[in-house]
Amino acid sequence: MQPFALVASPKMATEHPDASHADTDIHECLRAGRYRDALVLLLPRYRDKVFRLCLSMLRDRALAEDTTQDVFMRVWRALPGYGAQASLSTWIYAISRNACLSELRKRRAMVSLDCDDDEYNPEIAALSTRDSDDSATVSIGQVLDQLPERYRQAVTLFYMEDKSYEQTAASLGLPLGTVKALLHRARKRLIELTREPAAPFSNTRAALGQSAAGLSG
Amino acid sequence: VSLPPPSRTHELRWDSLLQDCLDDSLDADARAELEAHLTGCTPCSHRQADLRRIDQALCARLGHPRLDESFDRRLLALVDAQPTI
Repeated sequence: MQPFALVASPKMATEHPDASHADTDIHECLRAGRYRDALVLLLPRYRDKVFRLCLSMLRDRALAEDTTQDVFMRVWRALPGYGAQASLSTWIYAISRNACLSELRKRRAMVSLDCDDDEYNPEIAALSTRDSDDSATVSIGQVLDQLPERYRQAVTLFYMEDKSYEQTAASLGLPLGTVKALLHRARKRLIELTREPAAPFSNTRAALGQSAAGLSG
Repeated sequence: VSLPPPSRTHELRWDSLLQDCLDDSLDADARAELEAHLTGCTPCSHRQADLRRIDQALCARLGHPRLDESFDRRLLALVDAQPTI
């Protein structure tokens, strides 16, 4: 798996247009040393964004919830040292990405210790279990799983974030143009994957049609 | 009837516009240009249908997941149980 940036790079990230204005009250609390008040303000603002970033990287809802909690505990402990070199959102998303990467490393280590079967992939197993009761959803989940990791992460987060290029770029710490290019390539690849007749999920195109028809009806 | 595949140049030119249109990020002029092109280009019309199908399936699959608001209460309880920072 190719992770995105390991550390924050303020120049790389594209901020949500309103982020800096919206966080003025949090900065005032931080300057006054009122860290708990700052946390109370930032939780509703960043809770779901951090959760969706974790979910796109970890692909497991329960694990993403636990990791989101871990992220905010890390944020809480680090608030006194936050020096505003990077914007608050960039800083929080960098902590989130690092927490997810730590979790992925931990899980990889656990798999290599616990499982003798080299073919076993816990992420694929989790997807299969989660989707087993919905054939249309299985198909899109399975073709998503065939995308290169960078494409999969960008397209997943983009749709989780109500199709916002800006929020996806800010969360991933990537320039907006890069996110757009990854997204376009991902959708092209998804079309190809649903067209390949020899693919193991050959009924995917029909299932995607059913899924779309279900939405429009 | 199988259609000849569009040329690489053709695909590069219009695919990006089709995807921008899907994401509602085209200005009025570009949108009008694309709509005019689609009336006479069957491969691009098929491409648009494919993109819409993928888009709708992804929207249905991924949605807009949220955490329960009780998350904040649980987190603040954890914070309050920690030594003061």
